[in-house]
Amino acid sequence: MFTRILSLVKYEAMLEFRNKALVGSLFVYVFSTVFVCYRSFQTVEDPAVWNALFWIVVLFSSTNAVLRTFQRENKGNALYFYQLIRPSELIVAKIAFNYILTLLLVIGIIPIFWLLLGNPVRDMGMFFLVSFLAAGAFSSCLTLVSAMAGKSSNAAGLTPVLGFPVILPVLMVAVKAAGKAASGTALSEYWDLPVVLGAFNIVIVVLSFFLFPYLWRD
Amino acid sequence: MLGILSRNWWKVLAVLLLLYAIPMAWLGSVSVQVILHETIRNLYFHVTMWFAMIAVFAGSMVYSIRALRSGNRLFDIKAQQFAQTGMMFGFIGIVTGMIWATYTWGEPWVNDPKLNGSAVSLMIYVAYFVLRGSIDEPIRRMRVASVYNIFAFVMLILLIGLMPRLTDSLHPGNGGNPGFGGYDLKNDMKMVFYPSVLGWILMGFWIAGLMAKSKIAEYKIEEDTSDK
Repeated sequence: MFTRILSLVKYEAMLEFRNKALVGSLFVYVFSTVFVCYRSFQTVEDPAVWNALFWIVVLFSSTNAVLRTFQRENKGNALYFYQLIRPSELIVAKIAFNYILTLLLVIGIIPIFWLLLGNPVRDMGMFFLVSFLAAGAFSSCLTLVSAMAGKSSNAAGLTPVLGFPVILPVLMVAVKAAGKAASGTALSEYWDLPVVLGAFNIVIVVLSFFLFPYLWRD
Repeated sequence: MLGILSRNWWKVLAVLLLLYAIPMAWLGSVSVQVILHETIRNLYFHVTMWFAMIAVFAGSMVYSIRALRSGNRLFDIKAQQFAQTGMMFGFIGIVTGMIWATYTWGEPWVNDPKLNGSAVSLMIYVAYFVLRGSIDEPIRRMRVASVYNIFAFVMLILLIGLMPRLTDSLHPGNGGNPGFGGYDLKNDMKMVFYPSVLGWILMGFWIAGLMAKSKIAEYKIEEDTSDK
C-alpha cells in the first residue's frame, strides 16, 4: 500500500510542476504580499506584528496552493486512471503531496520574511514546528474540503466558504502558539497548543481516509 | 390507543419533564453565589439548549452515515431537518449565553475559546446548508452533504468540547474554572437540571422528527406527481 501511495505522490508532483507558470505564480503571490508588508512597515521589531503578518501570508498562500488539488488532471485521464486506484490511497497521496507543498511554502516564506522584515523571533525551532503543523492542518483540511466542493458547480468559490470556518480555530491556536514562540516563552507554558495542532492534523487525515471513498463513488 | 402510546411515550415524557422543569427553574431554590446571584437559573436554559443541540446534531450525523451506507434519500432529508433543528437550538444557546454574559461578565461577547468555538461550529453548519444549496443533482448532493455533515460534527465536538478545556477560558468547567457541580451546594439544582436536560433533548428530537416528516411528505408528493 505504501509503495502505491508513494508512486501516487510522485504522480501528483509531476502534475503540479509540469506547468511551471502555475508554480511561479505561487512564488510571485508570496513575494508580492511580503513586499507590500515591507513597504508598509519597513522593519518589524515587534514579534506579535511579525507573527500576524506571517500568518496572513501563510494562510492565503496555502489556500492558493491547495485550491487546485482536484483540477490538476484533465477529466479524461482521471476517469481512466482512477479506476485502477483505491480512493483511500488517492486521498492520502493528495494530502501527503499538499503537506509537502505547504512545507516548502513555509520554508520559502520564512527567509523572505527574514530578508525584508527582519527576524525578531526568539524561539525559531518551535516557530518552525508550529508553522509546519498548522500549515499541514490547513492543507489537509482544504484538500478534503476541495474534494467536496469539486462536486458542486462552483468549486473555486465554495472551497473557502466550506474550509474557512474549520480553519479559523486552527489559525487561532497557531497564531497564539507561534506568538509565544516568537516572544520566547518557555515551551512548558504552551506545549498543549502544538499538541492540539497535531491532533487536528491527525483527526482530519483519518476522517479524510474514511470519508473520501464515499465522495469518489461519483 | 396503546399502540400510539407505546410509540410516542417519550413525547409525553418530554412534555411532563418540561412542565416540571420550566416553572421550577423560576420558582425552585438555588444556591446564590457572588457574581452569579440568581442568574444561575440560566443554567436550566442555556446549558440545556447546548445539550439538546449536540444530541440533535448527533442524530443528524447518524442519519448522514445511514444515508451514505444505504443510498436512501429519506435519510438525507432527515439529516438535513435534524441539522436545521440543531442550528435553532444552537442559536438559542448563543442568545441565552449572551444574556447571561451581559450580567456576569459585563458584556455580551468576550474573546473566549468556548464562545469562539461555538460560533465557528455554527458557521460550519451554515456552510453545510450552503453546500446543499450549491449542488443540484439529488444523489450527489446527498453524498457530498453527508460526508460534510460527518466532518462538521467531529469538528463541533473538537471545537466545543476539547479546545476550551485545553486553553484558558472564562467558561465554568473549562480552562481551570470549577464546573457547575461546585456551585450546587445544596444539590437541589440537580433535581431540576437533569429532568430539564432530558426534557429538552427529547423535545429537540420531537421537533426535528416533525420537521423531517413534513419534508418527507412534501418529497413524496413531489415524487408522485412527477411520475405521472
